[in-house]
Amino acid sequence: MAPANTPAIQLSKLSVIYGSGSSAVTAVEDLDLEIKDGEFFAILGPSGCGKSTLLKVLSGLLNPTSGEAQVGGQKVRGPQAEVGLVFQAPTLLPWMTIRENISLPGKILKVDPDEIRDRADSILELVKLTQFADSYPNQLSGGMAQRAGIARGLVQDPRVMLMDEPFGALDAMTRERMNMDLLDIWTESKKTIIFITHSIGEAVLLADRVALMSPRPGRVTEVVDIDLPRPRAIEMMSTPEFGHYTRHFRDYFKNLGEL
Amino acid sequence: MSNKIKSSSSLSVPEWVLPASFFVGLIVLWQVITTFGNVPQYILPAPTDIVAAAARNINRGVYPTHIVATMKSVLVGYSIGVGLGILLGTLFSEVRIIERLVYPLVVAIQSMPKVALAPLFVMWFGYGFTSKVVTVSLLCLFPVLVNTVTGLKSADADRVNLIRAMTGNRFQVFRHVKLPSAAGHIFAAMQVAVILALIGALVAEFVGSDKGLGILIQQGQLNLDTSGMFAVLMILSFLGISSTAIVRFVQRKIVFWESGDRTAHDLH
Repeated sequence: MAPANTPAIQLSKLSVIYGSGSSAVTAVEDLDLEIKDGEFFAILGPSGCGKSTLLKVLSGLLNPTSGEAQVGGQKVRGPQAEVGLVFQAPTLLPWMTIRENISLPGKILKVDPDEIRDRADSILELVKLTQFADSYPNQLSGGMAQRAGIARGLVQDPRVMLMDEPFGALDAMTRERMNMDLLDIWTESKKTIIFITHSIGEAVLLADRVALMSPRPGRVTEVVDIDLPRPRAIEMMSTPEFGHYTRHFRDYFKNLGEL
Repeated sequence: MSNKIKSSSSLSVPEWVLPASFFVGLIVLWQVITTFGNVPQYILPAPTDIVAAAARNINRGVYPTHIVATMKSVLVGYSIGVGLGILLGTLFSEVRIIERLVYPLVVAIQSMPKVALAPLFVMWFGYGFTSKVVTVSLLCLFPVLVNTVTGLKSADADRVNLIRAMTGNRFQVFRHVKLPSAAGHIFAAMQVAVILALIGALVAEFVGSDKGLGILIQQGQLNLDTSGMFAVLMILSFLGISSTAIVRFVQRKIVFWESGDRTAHDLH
């Protein structure tokens, strides 16, 4: 295990170029980033800024063209149990019950079945889906399905959770509730979370720090500390401090021509 | 409110009533034409003649050996064809080089009417069971193979990445995502293959066998026993319908998530 002061994630001079020659597209360029252990880190950017590429590199699904990514002080060489992934869509497998879906990471890592069951039970309780354990995904609402997706990302107790616009497909009301639920889960599980979104309000509401990214090629142009008190609450969204941050971000995207 | 619902439902008739009455009407018309229309029995026997012929043959115990002979080769050939189809389809979709090498050949063979090979198989494998099984399995093989390849390739990229991100290996990706994604496609081909299996068995019997429903049909032709031939056709369609129903039943049990309410899934 890495010492406590090791950053959860470190990116140094990370670049990803798709294709080669004249058709090459630079998705991410010279990314330097350090994310502390236990931090809630949001990445805010327009589409095409390389957010998803970044997550693929961190989850070990894609090798960077140059530079490197480290998780817990170790260079990422491929998929690993230390990293949990939550997709834009819940991506539950329709042929498995919710419990089976959530237990899948354990099964793949060949964890002892009794232990898988215990972990699945406690994680189901955490995301309030205990009574749906034996339901199939098509019997769940969008919000519940996404909670199950988060539970699956958490079940192997990874050091880092990567979340790719996890609430983008939900309606506004469900989304607000899910934001609060996620903060609860984060507080209880003490994970490092990297949260990609293109909702300014969501980023400010949830994160300790927000990175702003510019599109084509994807670069981090600014990292902003969000000095709002914890625990956060929906009501904070109407405070002047909150407005100060959202205005700043909105101006940034306006200057980019994205708003 | 509840009154209204009740009265409207008591007025409506079940969906099967209309096609069933049409069918009965058709049989009655057939009977009337053949009875009063001076149609020779060897051209078109009356439904009652067909039933009488069937009853006569049932009493004489003609059918069981022939049904068993046909269905044995259907069952064995179908199992081999479907099994090989899934196996080869898997190999094709998982090993690129094999696909590159062999798939063009598969496409070429697929566009050929394979029943034309039945006489050749009789020469190769002799009269009877083996050549029938080979014809049946060859006919079943191709649709299953093609649909297995299509099905395995249709697996959602996010789902594949999900398993990979969990450190899943190729086999785990196959078992947890690709195979279940392909199951619906494979079963669709298996339904088509049921009828192809019957066709294969019948043709093989026509060209080289001494037992089976195909032989009964040929005997009917030689004896100008048209009623007897129609009776065999009835048995064949019954076998076709019930075999397809069995496959459909198994499909619904195994690929349960693709039947019934898919609305929640479609929303994703």
